[in-house]
Amino acid sequence: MAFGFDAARSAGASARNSGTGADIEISSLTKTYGDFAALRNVDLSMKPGEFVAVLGSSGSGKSTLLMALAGFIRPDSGSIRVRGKPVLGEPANARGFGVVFQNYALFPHMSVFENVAFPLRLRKRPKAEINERVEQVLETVKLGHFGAREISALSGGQRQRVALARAIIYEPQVLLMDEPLSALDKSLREEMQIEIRELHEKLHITTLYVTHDQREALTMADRIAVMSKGEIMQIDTPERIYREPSNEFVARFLGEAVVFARIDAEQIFRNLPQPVQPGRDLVMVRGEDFQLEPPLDERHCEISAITRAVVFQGDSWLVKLSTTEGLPFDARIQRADAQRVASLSAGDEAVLYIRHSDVHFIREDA
Amino acid sequence: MSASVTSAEIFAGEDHGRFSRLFGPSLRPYLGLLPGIAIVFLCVALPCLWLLYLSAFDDGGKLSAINYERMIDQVSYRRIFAMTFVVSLETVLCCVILGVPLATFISSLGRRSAALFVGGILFPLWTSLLVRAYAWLVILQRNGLINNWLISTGLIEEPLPLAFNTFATVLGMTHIMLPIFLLPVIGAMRGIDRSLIRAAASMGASRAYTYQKIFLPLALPGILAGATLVFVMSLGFYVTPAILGGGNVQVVSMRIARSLATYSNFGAAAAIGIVLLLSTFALMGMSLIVRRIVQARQGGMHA
Repeated sequence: MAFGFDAARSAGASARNSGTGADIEISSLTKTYGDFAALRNVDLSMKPGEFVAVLGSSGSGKSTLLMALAGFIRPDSGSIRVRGKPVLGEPANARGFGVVFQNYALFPHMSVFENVAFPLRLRKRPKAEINERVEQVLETVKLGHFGAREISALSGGQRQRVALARAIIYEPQVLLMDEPLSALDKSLREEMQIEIRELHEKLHITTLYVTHDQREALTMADRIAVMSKGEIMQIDTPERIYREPSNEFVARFLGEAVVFARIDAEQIFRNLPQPVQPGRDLVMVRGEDFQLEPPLDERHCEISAITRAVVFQGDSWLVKLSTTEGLPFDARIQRADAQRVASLSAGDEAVLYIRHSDVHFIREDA
Repeated sequence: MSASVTSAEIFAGEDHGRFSRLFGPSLRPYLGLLPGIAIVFLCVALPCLWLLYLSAFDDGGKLSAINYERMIDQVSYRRIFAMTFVVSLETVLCCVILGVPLATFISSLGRRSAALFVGGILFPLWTSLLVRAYAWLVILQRNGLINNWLISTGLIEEPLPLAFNTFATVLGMTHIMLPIFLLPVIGAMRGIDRSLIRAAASMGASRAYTYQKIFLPLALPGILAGATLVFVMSLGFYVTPAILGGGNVQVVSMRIARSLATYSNFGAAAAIGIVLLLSTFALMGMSLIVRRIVQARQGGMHA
């Protein structure tokens, strides 16, 4: 860490942080609280400078994973290596990771400047360097003239930026963020997602980002790890995890998924393709992949269903249907089908088409 | 007839409207404070003014400044005031030295064990001041527990002068005041967000650095509140200095008692009370100013 700091200082401002991210190797990490297993044999490896979002609902173990990495929770077993060096024996203050907390955890008795300067002051950096670096970092998070402000005089978004500035000022190799945007309103959250992503592209700090918001994970991450009940269900790029979820949980957690058992699907769909891999007994179709017009160019299958309701939702229509066998499912019809969806009303029979490439075979949950 | 009734009703309605405007929505929430304000006025402000009035008369009932002149002329008064403030400050100091680490420990405990400790702290408050003062006497006096034990082990030959001095007085007062100091401090410390401590650790701060730079500054309002409470209450202590000081520790409350009991000089007693009150205000004001200056300096450190 000291090396990273000095190397970065002597380097030019633009190339300041390139290559300071560390690789992380988490293997069979386990943590139980009484009967409750917060982490079960979690394996996760991160490349230097990678941005991994850990996505899960509350109680999935995602925060426990972050806290174990930060050093605030001691796992029962397993190992964490950063740059090949085991870190579990080290206390939190020796790990040198940047941590951004859900409630920001800013020091209320210090100004913005002092909050951001705190990591440098405790490292006893010279005063001139502290002033320069703090100004620089505040500039980076777009809080250039806020140094003298009290924390209580800041908005939620500004507080988040201060927390971020404070976590990156000592140029950590690893940045851990625990639902940092969950307290912000939607538009600010989306703005900050892009900003944090841009900042990451500039700094290349290996980042573990915990969130329960699937869109946030899809927006920001290089890879997404979906967690449930203390286990990582799947870890993959946003596109693959959305297009090719490995099981029903992941399929339903991200986006709108229609899932049928393959035995049922063979009755429901006409011209259903065959699965490529064995052991995949569920058929999954994304709600937005249904269309009312048969695609001319590609192989496709069909499904006949009874319309239960048609709901206009701005950018698309939510059509609630049930199969002739009585299984309910929701389709999201796009603008391209505007005319056909307009003629659809409750009780009508509808035929929907799905491209073969949009039919996914997935595993049942363990 | 019917017309006059109507006009009377209208008048009554108007009157009610005017009343509700005066004591209406804006003032009504504060009406509940009236009994409290009345009690404060009757029990605090009025007696103080009465004291001020009493202190302005001499023995013969003539208007004079003799009661105040006496305090300036006689050195013994200055010594008594100095002793009172020194004993009180030492008590505050002992409470801070003993109380801050103890409060830190208790505030770090879980809810249940913390409640147990707080209960343990409050327990001595149920026993009388007198009993506790004499209990210390049993322990500290010439043939008390400590001296007897030290002599029996052969460490000393002559008994140590443990009782009837400032040491014993401050010890006894600290014993009594510590719980009162601890409660606001524990409250302030338990209110500190634990994620701040974690945040400091994540940035590389050691436990000692975090304690010094984050935990203590955030607990400071509670510590100051506790210290102020202890100081002000200590200024008026009578029983403990009387018993454990054994006549060697003269504090203001004892001089007031003597003025009243021995000389029946209400004017002199009142004047001492007024001077004690004013000097306490002056001291508190000074500490407030110092705090402001320190805060301003902290805030403007980087400017």
